[in-house]
Order: sequence, then structure tokens, then C-alpha cells
Amino acid sequence: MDVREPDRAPDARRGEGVLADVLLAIAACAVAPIALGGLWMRGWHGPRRDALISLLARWSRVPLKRINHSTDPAQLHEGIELAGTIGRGQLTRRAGLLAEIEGGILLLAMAERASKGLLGPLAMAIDEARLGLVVLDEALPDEQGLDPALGERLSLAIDLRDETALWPIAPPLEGWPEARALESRLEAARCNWPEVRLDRGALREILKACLALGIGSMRAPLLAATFARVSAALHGRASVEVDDLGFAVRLCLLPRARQMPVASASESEDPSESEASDEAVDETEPHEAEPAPEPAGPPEPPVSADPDTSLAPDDTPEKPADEHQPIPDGSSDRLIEAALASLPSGVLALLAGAVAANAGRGQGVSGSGLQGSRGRGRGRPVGSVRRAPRSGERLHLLATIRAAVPFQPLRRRQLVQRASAAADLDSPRSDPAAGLAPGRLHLRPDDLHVHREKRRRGNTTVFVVDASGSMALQRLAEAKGAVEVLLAECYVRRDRVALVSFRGKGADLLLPPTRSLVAARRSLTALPGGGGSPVASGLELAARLVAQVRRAGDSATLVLLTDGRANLTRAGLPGRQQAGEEAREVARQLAGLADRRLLIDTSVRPDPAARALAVALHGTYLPMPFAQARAIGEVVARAASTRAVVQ
Amino acid sequence: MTARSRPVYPFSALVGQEEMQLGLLIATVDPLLGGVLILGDRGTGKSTAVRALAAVLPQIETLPGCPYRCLPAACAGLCAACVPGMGGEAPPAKGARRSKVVTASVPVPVVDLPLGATEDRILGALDLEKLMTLGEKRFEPGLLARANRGFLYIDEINLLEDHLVDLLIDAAASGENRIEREGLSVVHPSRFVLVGSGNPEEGELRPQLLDRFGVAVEVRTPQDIDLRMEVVLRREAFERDPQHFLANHEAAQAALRERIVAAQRLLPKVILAPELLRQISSLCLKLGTDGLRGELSLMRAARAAAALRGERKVSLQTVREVAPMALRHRLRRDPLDDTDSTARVARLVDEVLV
Repeated sequence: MDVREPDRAPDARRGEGVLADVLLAIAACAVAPIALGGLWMRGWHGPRRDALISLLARWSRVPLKRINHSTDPAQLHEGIELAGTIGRGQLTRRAGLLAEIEGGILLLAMAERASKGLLGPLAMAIDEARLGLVVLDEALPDEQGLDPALGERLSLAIDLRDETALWPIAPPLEGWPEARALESRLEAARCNWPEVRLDRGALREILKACLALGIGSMRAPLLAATFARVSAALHGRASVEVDDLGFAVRLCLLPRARQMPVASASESEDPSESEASDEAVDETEPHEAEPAPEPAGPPEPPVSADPDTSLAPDDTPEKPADEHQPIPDGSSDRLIEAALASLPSGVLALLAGAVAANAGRGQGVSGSGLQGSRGRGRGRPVGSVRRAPRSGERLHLLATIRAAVPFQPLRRRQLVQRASAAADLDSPRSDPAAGLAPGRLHLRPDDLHVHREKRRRGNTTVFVVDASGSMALQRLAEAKGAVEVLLAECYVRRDRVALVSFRGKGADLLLPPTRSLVAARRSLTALPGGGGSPVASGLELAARLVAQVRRAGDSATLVLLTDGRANLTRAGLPGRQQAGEEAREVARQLAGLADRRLLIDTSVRPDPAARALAVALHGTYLPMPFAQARAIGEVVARAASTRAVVQ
Repeated sequence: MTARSRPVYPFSALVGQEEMQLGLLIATVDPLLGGVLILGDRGTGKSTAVRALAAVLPQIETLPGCPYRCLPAACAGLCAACVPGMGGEAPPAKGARRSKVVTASVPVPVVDLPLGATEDRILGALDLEKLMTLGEKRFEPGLLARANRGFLYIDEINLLEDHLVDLLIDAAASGENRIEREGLSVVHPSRFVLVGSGNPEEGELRPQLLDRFGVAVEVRTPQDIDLRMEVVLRREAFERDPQHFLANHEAAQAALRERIVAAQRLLPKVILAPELLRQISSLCLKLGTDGLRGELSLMRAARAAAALRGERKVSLQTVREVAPMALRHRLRRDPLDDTDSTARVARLVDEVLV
């Protein structure tokens, strides 16, 4: 729980830049939570996150309420409190959470585990401008994290996961000069931000930046524009300037990026800057160029913005801009570049990962679907079980009444006794005789039964394809053919598939779990071959994926296509012996993880190394020379036949 | 849930999504078409368009307070609004039943079905409050009841759980919702236009459900920067001052509403020439669509589109225009073949419809 103090000077400055961003995001969220949709905070629980949340609570003028992933979606809307109603024998209502927090900020913790049932209504509430949502997402870097449909609606995203983003903070944050400066302008910003001018030039820059970053959604530029306004207001400016656009790019657009802008850095006139951003992408050395808190674009001849094109009404607020920096045309590349250059390397690495994940997302991760299947109340009912309904479970009425009936005489007698006792004591209880009406059923909370549901448990097949040089090109093509057949099988069973390949230095997740066969096929065709054979790395990545699948409640089938000739260790060092041992070791771990395992030996004749690997996997061994693609399909189909589980 | 009437972005102010707009309008003109599937990425204005629909549609007549929004002439007799004896609130006209019904104009319902909805929420369930307080067994209508005579919108329909899909398929096919559980036995009308949206890359739709949709439209994010500017500017203007924005678009909205009403009236009179029908059939044959549904929905869509244009006779041009949306989701396809079905349809349209 220690807060790391900055220990490297150059990074410390950058850290301040990150801190300034983060503080600005919090302040913006406190100023205009509803217009901005909200804030997506990635990172684990810790003093930094807590400090930021308490800062938000201090700064916002609207109520703040915290819920977490286990919140029953039914609680969002008003309804009857069942257990209370029965226990007390009178109707007990509860207010809906959404109504309670109307106009305020809702804090959703553990958002990455929340079900669609909870996130759907929240997304709708954001669309209806009923609340601002602050999402705390604790997903691991390689996990899916927040449902993209919700993330899309939150304008701001900050990442606290990075250990090297050394923002020099020790809670409480209120004492930091940046925080104090922001705090002093909060009130003014609250009234002024809707009047801040955003001229067409600035808007065009935002849109260009979106295109350069591969952001197709039209929500992103809108939210970024709103944020730029809020940012300007928070800096006491009457119109949006380059700095605000820089903040908007970093806080709103970069986190959604699906691609990094290509090669614009090399053409920049300013060598130090281009260097900085080049290195930054390569995430190597610390950077000295570029003062962090000033992410302003490079100096450009100021082209005055046409006042006619401004969007805001002309009555500008009192606060005059001390230095007016009109937005030069065509600066969006610079804008992004500058934004990138001002980030510390660790953050950039995270960002690159996020970009890859976003790109993969486009190819069809349905992590949302993955979590949706975990919720209750979504299966075919089979019988009942005695317990109070929780989180979306359905009350089994008949079973409940049946459980209560035998005890009716006893309970009525008890009630009579209690009523008379209450009368003796003369305590004004809430009409104890009310329950004595003849023919009235006396329920107790422990009579409650709920529907038991039978739910198809999904299966995810993880393909691990060896694409190393030893798999001669033609063998690789055959392996691809086999995988295609398997994919078609999976389609029929409505399985999800994921694709991992390994070659050369390491393993790649080509396709996160998806139902989209088109995406699977596309990534398969694009699979290149050649290079060393780091079997252990491939299996390790597969193991992580399998663990994720299992955590989400699916069963996992692992299909490994390799010739078993590992020749690279996990550390990337050559050595058959060592590499083989490592591979078998990881395979043994996988044996306990994946529900079903299958190794397809792709060597020309059955290879002892592959067989040994299959043994370590405790899996089915299938040499390819004898296995026609079709036959492989049948074997996997048998291995992966999905089963229904009773919850 | 939508108790407050928040200003809704006007349908007529949508920019750059002509195909989606046409698809939705066709469905409003001919609700029997079978629904609209909107395919595309997030943030392309799908939800905005669907939620904007209600405002351009002519209001419908119903009995005040009827949760099913029954037609006054053919009410299902399920609620206190229709049947005076059913307790609850005071009935509108005691004694005199059908003869002197007081009707009310209400907006066409556009109901959002969230992905996480439970079966109870969709189908309706036993009204627990009535049961607890009055000991009465009463049915509490669900989303399928609310969507009657209107639209049921499901975002990310491709991620909807299978057993919920089953419920929808059944209700959409029969036009009524049957509940036989927990001692309830209720049938209520549930005729709705199903509007689903989703990104096919994130998961495939069940073929049975896909088949229910009359038309499937594609939306893309505009790549043209000026168009994008326009989208953002309009949205900004709307958010800044919704009332003003709405007032500015009132004329356009009214014109669109009139066009829809006129088209609805014209629709039964629109004729499709036999030779054109022959061409349609040959197009469907060449595309290899399953069954006759391809022809039927293309025919219906073409007639509705013609009615929207005020044409009494469907023109070749109209058929060409709606052919992709009526057919692109009906091609029998290899799950692994990722050739664009839109392109396939377009190619054959050029070949056959000349």
C-alpha cells in the first residue's frame, strides 16, 4: 500500500503531466458529470484511486453514490422489497437507485465483472442524461475489462495501472498546487462551460484526430468537444484553445484509439519532438524533451478563427482569455503527436496494449456476451430451491406457498399470542391484528423458493497454432485447413473461438474469444509462418486465456496444433532440451486448467516430442498424417460437446 | 422508465444515414414487413434514430390507461381501462361499454429492451404488489405488452441470450404473448415492429431470428470530415438548446409525419407490375435465398418505399433501391465465407433488374 515516490527526475516531470491530466479529468467530471457521461478509471484499488475519488466527492456539487458489480439490477428501478414485505407482513417499497441518484454521480466499482443486466440500464440512463457514471475497472491488462458499449458513453478515461507513471502524489491531493488551482475555478467553470466557444476549426481538429486514431464512433468527437469546453472553462478561458484540444486528445480520444497515427512523426520539422514520440512508441528510454504539463502543439503561425463560425452564442462570459491561441488548421497530427510525446513511457506501453485490444475488439470480442451469460434469471426453469431471491432470481410462487401451508395454524396461533402480548404492553405496534384476517397466508422469509435454472454453459475453443519454421509452409496450410473445419464445427455448436499462434520470438493472441467466424477466418488467413518454435510461450498465453474463459463461467477446450519441436525457451533463448522441458511444464499446468485438451501432431510422421507434449497435457493425441481435416473436426466435436449445467 | 418526457433528437435532423432512415420509414409504413435489423458499429446513430421514431409517427387511438394500448374497437378486455369490472381505478365509462368509449391519442410506443432483461420483465409476471396487499392474482404486463402497436428496440441484439430470443421469435410470429406460468394464463396482443441493432463482427445472429427481419440496413460511420462535422454540429446545437432545435425542425418533422400518413393510406393501392415481380423472383432465385420470404419482403419493402414516394406503381428504380436491404440477410451463406453479401446482392441487382 505504499505510495511510490518519484525517484527518477526526468520522469517526475512527466509524472506531473499525468497528474495534471488526471486532476483535470476529476475536476471536469465534478463540473459536468452528466454532459460528459462519466469517467472510466482503470486501475486497482489503492491510495491513489481512493484519493481521486475523495477529491471527486469534495469537488462535485451533486450527490455521489457507490455501487458495485453485485448490485441487483432490479434495485435500479423502484419496486417491492420482497423479504421485508413478507417478514413484516406489510408492503415495503424501495426507491430505485436511478431515481435516488438522479442528476448525480454514480460510482460503479468492479465494473469489469458487472453483468449486462446492470450495465444496460446504466448505459440507457447515461443516454437519457440522468446521471454521470464513474466506473472503476480493475481488469488485468490482458482482460476484457469494461463492456465497450458502456465505455463508449463515458467521455473520459484515465489509467492508474501504470507503476511507472510516477505522479508525485501523496494523499490527500487537495494540497497539490494543481488541485488548488482547479478548485478555485470550479464554481466559475460550472456556470461558464456551456458558454465556452468552440470554433469550427477546433471541432475539425477533433474530428481529424478521431479519424487518425481510427475512432469511427460519432460519440467520441461529441464527448471530446464537450470536454474541451469544460477544460477551457476550468482554465479560465472563454474559448477552446490548443491546450484544451491536447487534453481532449489525451483523456478522451487516445484511450479509444484503434490505431496509432502512422509515420506522421518522421515528417515533423521539430527533430527533438519527433524523436521523443518515436522513442515513446518504442517504449525505451526516459525522455527529456518536451516539458510535460505543456502539451501545446508546436508553434504555428496563428490563423485567426473566423468569429462567424463559432458555435457558441456571442455573449462571451466575463473571464477574458489571457492568451488567445487560435487553433491552426491541420494541426491534428501535431496534436496527437504532442499528446503522445507528453506521456511517460509506461503509460504509452499500456496505451499500445489498449490500442491492440481495441483493434481486436473491432474484430469481435464479445466479452460483454461472455459476462452476460453469468447472470441469473436467464435460463430455462427446472424446479425450485429454497432461498430468498437474489440478483434477478425469480420467486417460485407455488413452491413458496407449498412450503408455508403446513405451518399456517402454528403461525396464526403465534400471531394471536403476540398480538395479545402487544395489547398487554400497550405498545402501539403497527396493527398486529392485520395479519389475523381469515384466509390470509402467513409467509416467513424462509418459505421463499426461487426458480432453479438450467443454463447452457458456453464453450470456448482455444486454438493454439504453431506457425514456426519447422512447420513447413505446406504443413501450416494443412493446419489452417484443419482449423477452418474446426471453426465451422464451432459455428454449428455456437461455441466461441479464440486463436493463439506462436512463432519467432513469442506468442500472439490473434483473436480474443469471439463468435464471429468471419473474424476468426480473417485472422487465420493472415497468419504468417516461419521462425523459431517457442511452444512454452504459446502455451503460456493459451493458459492465461483459458483461465480467463473459465473465470467467466465457460468451459474451455484447448486445441494445440504443433509438431512439438520446441526450440526456444520462454526467455527467447535457443536450446531444444530446455525449451522442450519448459513446454511440457506449461502443458502440465494447462492440463488442470482446460476442460478438454487435444493435440494435433502436424509433423510428417508422428513425432515423439509431440506425443510427450500430449502426455504432459493429459490430452488426446492425434497425428495429422492419419487425420483428415474432417476427422479432426469430428474428434473435437466429440471432445467439446457442450453440456448443460444445473445452477 | 421513460416517465419524464425528455427532448428527443428529431428524426428529420439525422444526417448521412439514408439507408437506415429509409428502412425505418418503410417499417412504419408497413408494420407487417417484419422489422428492421440495423447492422453497424457503435456510435453511428442507431439508437438515436430508433428513439427518434416515435416523434414522427402519427399518434394512435387507444383507451386511456390501457397498458396494452388496445385498439378501442378490438380491445383484448384485459385491463381495468377496457373492462369496468376489473377493479383498480375507476373505469372510464361505467355501464355503457363499447358504445361510448372515451379514447385518447397516445404516441406510438418505442420500447427499449435491455440485454439483461429477465423473462419476467419481457413477458410480464404475476403482480406481486397486488398479491401481497390485496391477495389478488393479477397479471403485470411486461415489455411485450408495452410494445404492442409500436416498436420494440433491442440494441446489440446479436448478444441477446438464446432463450430470450426464443420468446421474441414466438411473439413476433404470432402477434400475441401467451403466459402460462405461476398459475397465470394470459394471452394479450403483442404486435410490434422489431428493431434490432448490432455489429455482426461481435457475434452472429441466430438464423431463425435473422429471418424475422423484413429488412436489414447497414450503417457506417461517415468518413467524410464535412459530413462528420455536420453530424457533430447538429448534435451540439441540439444539446445546447433542445427546445430551440426542436422548434427549428418542427416543420420538417410535420412534413415527414404527413408523408408517412399519406404513404400508409396509399400503401394498399400501390401496385407491382407482374413483369417486375418476375424480375424480383429471378433475382431471388439467382441469389439462392431460402424459401419465398425473399420475394415477399422485397415486394413489401418496394411497395412501402413506393408509397413513401407517392408512387402508385412500383418503379424499377425503387426495387433496385430496396433490394439490398430486403435481401442481404437472406443469402444462404457459408459461415466462413466473408465476401460481403451486400456486394453480392448489388452485383446481381445490376445483372437482373435492368
